[in-house]
Amino acid sequence: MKGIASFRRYFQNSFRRRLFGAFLLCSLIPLLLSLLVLFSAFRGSRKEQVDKEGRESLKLIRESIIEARDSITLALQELSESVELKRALTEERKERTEVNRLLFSLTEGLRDTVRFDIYDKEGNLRYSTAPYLESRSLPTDWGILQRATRADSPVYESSEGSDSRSRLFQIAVRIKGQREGGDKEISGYVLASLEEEAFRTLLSGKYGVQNGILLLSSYWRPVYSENILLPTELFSTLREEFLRGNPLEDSTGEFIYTVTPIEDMGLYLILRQEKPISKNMNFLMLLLLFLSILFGAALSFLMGSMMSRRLFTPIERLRSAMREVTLDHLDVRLRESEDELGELAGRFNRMTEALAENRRALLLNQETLLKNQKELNEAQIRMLQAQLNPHFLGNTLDAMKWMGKIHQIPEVAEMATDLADILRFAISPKEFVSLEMEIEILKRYMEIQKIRGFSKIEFHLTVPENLQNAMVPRMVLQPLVENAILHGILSEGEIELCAAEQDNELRILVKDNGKGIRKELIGPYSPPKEDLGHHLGLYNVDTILKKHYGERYGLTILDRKEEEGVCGTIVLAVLPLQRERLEG
Amino acid sequence: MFSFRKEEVNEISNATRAILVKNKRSQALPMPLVKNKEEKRKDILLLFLCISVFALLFSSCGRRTEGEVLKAPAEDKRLLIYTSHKEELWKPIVKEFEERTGIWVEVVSGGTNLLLEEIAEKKGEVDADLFFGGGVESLNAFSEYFIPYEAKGIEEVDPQFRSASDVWTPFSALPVVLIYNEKLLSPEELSSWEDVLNPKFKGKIAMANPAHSASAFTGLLSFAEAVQEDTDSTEDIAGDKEILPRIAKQLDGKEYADSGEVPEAVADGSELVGITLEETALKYMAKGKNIGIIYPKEGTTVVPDAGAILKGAKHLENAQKFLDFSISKDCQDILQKRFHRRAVLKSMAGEGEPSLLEIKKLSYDIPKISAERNRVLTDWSFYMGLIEEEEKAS
Repeated sequence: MKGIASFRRYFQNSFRRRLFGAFLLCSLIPLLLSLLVLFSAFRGSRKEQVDKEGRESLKLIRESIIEARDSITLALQELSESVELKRALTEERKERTEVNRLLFSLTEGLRDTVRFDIYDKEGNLRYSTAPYLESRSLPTDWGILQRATRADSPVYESSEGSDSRSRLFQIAVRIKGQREGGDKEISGYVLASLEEEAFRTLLSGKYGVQNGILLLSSYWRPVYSENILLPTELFSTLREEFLRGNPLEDSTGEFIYTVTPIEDMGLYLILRQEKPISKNMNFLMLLLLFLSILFGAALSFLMGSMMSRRLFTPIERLRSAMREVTLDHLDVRLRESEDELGELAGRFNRMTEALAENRRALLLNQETLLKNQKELNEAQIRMLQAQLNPHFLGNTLDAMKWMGKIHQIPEVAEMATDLADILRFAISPKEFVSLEMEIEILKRYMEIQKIRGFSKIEFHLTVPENLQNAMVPRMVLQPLVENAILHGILSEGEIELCAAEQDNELRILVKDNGKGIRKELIGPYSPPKEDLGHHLGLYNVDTILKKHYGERYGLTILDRKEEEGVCGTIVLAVLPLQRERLEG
Repeated sequence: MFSFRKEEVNEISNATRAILVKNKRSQALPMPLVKNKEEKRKDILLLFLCISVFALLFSSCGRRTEGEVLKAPAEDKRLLIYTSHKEELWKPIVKEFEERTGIWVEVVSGGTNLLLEEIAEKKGEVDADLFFGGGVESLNAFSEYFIPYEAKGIEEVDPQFRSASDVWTPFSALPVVLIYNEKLLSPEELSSWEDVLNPKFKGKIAMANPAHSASAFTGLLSFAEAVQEDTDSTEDIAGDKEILPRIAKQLDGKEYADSGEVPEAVADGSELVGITLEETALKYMAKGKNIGIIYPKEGTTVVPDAGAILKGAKHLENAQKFLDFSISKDCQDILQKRFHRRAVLKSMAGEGEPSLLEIKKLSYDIPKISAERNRVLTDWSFYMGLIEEEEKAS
């Protein structure tokens, strides 16, 4: 399992390997399949051919052996039933030539390869087709005669091996007694012996040249082998394999053995054939298989790495380009090609271009916006400051002063002089003036107001010496005092102006003891939604302070009754403390 | 210069974000993706397996085992024999046994001691059912590996050849004889064991090494028993301390490795006299070799060989059948007529020339000899080594 897991990991870790694996599967499966089918078809047809050949030659051999057996047993039967023979065997009469004539006539055509012997009931050899008659006897209580004694039909016996080399196979029939019905009585035996020559004639040309044929006895002991090249231990090897219940195989493993029993003769025929697929052939097939696999694997590897390179390089480029984009480098561009990945690269390029363009436009917008705002602010200030036509007013006031002096009306002359001073101050280009100057102008303004009829208004100033040179925007005190007169005390009362320093800030308080201000205006100043006209002075001063110093500065309106217990209003202006010399 | 509508720009940046997010997710949570692939691969593997199995089946079909019509014989029709008999003897007997009983016999042949030692080494755990052949002294020595069996017809066996416990069943009797080269020696010159000690035969005697050959061991002890002067010392095997050195000296320290070489050496004239079994001698004479047989005047020993059933025999019944067959009249008959062995049946004791009854026997206490075998062999090899040394010295 571990192996499989690591194998899987090997293929999953890399796109290239996965491609290689896919190619390998695609190339090897059909290849292996077709090779296997081809091999098995080839093997099958060879096998069939060999099987057929084997079956045919075994059938042929079997038939020829049975045919020979039949003609031999026929001769034996005829001999065994011959009355002359019985008589000759039992009555000890010398009828040698007669019996021999019978023997030779009945075995005509068979004698070349088969030897016929006639034994008496003691097992002594009496007549024979052999060229000379040796004195021989066979035990009647052992082997073939023992069994022939008990059997009515022919009995068969294979040789015992080395000592009876020339008689490989024997067929025996007993000769019954002479008297009618004396079936138990035995007068002798006829015996046919098949020699090597007999088998050679029977078998020759009936099996292939490369094949071998073996004849085994009923207990699988050797009887005959045609091919002298067959190893001698083959018989015992085959017997061992058979007894173990194994398929027949010799030590070389290059042959197949096919067995056909000839049951009633107690013989087994074994045909040895070369295997349909020899070892060499098998080796060649395996080699072919191996080479195909190798070739397939090499090709798959090649194709896999080629394809992955073609796919992977653009993807890798895309990947690193994307990383660049995440790092805010919008100027990366990819090479574009014709295929799908090229299209992807193109899309990416368009995208980054669009992103960059977007960013540029945004920045531009912001700058313009800022600039516009500034310009607007300045225009507003100027517009506020230019609500009077100063030159016309100034000239008119000068003319009024001189007219007052000529016509001996000093109040007009004085008023015109004060008003002109105020006007001149108001239109001077200086944006910031000292507090002292601002107070001087305020004094002129108060004088004008006195002449106008507000003589019952008392004006007190409490400005410490060290704050005389503090810088303030021009014309901020006058609107505050004017506001106190118009909306506070009207014709009779007291106005007090105090200046103080606190936390590096300049605080200017304008107090009146008038009727007080509307409740909703108390607190930090905020421009009313509508009806600006009533407190235009306060609005202007607050706007000027805020525009110059920022939103945290400006005016605050307080109820004097709450602060000091006196009826009236307090307007507090807060601005940063700056000294005259800084401007200088 | 391009100009984009705000929506377009948004779309593009959204797409980029989506890609980035997806990338991140695939790095952080690779499992679901991997699992999918795994399943696919499993499917592919399964398919591949199916195909290859199918292909294998296809390729192997049509293969038939040869001889499938034949069936190996059943267990109750089998017998495995260890034999020390020569193939020319066991083959006809086994063949006849097969024909008569329908039992398939497998035979492993080898030297008596070799096979018995193999059995001992494996503590009797061998496949063999039966040990067939070998002198009864050897079988006695390994009797712990055998089980007694009273064979059918055992009462017909001559009591002198029977085992007291029936641990083995005698098969044939094998008298020890002297042989001589007919061309080089007249029969008058050799008639007894005593004659063998004649100085003119010194170094001209063929005998196999008693350690290798059971028959040579029997021969040596017969020789010693026959020529030892103190005939009372039956208590001790080869008890006369003088006798073994004497025989060794007469042999001039010369032994043959295999008992088959003894008649060969006598027949080709390299030796004048040989000590061997009657069976071996007769076999050679049947081949027309010019050797003669002497049954010594003092007598000789007739030791049977036997068969014994191994403990734990898988085919016990068949082994018993084989022993029954081995002492049957038919088998004993063929033994005596064809294989130059003596039948062990009482009824056949009178057959043969000379018959077993006519052969004078020396006293030969098989159990005692079996027990003393190692001592005698050690002594013997010591004396033989001594003579070799003396020869080297001179």
